[in-house]
Amino acid sequence: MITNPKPPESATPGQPDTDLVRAFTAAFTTDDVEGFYKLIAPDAEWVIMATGETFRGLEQIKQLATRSVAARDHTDGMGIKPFNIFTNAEGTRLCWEYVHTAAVTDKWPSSTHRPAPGTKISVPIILSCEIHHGKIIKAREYFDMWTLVDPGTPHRLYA
Amino acid sequence: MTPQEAVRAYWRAWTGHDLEGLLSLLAPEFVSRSSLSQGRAAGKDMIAKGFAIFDKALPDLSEEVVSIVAEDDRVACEVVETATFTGPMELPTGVLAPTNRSYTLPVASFFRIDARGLIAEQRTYWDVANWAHQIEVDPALFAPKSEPAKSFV
Repeated sequence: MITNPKPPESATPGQPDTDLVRAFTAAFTTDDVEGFYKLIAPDAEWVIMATGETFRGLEQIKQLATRSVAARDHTDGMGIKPFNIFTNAEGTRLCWEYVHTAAVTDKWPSSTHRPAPGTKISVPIILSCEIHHGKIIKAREYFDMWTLVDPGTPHRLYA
Repeated sequence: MTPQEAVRAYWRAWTGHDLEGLLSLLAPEFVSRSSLSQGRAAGKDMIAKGFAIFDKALPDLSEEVVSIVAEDDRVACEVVETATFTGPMELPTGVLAPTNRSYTLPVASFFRIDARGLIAEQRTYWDVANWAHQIEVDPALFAPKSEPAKSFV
């Protein structure tokens, strides 16, 4: 269930930033990368926990987003489907849980373990975000690479 | 006990190798889904079986909560799990001999707590391939023989 029923309101210290959460959800579920970038702090850090790959700063995160969007296709009702979103009372932490269904394209970012283009994937993911001054300052993305790669081998998703 | 305290107690029970304490935190209708089960639902009985397997194989298993976010009955947390594979791992697919390999594994988990303060639902996310690589075993051995769940939710 997506929990963000309140109308947009300005963030105040000690209050959850519903504007940010709503905007993040809108951007992330529609591949609106420009809208997404506006929600990321310039010195933000995004970590793929399965591989330890870390993207530091807005420029690297833009590259990550660009490559991610190019790597999959969201036709036939596939896409990023959040089902559990909430923040702590202070609005400094965000849990964003979703299932990503997609068809792999020939732009898959990994140099190894490349699924054939057209391969359909369904990956449950949980994002743990830290929020500072109305922007996402840290995001850690947890999912199981086993669903995407050959098992038992060292792997990278973006290298 | 607040929802957040219940979740912290859950991880302490794993670290303390306290099965009785762990089960006391779970509602009778508890359902867990995890990367390892590929989304298949597991109840308290399956958790107890899994606990017994890992308690024997990973006697120094430790769970450190590094981040937690809670709202009402919902709690999400990040945990760093460490252990060394020093005992036989008695899986349904066969017994794995210990490799004496240590691992450090980032884990994230979502919990829903019921009105009694018991954990009713858990979803756990971690990279099986990463874990299997660190302990030098074939992750295919962890795969249940039935089809993966259609939905993780």
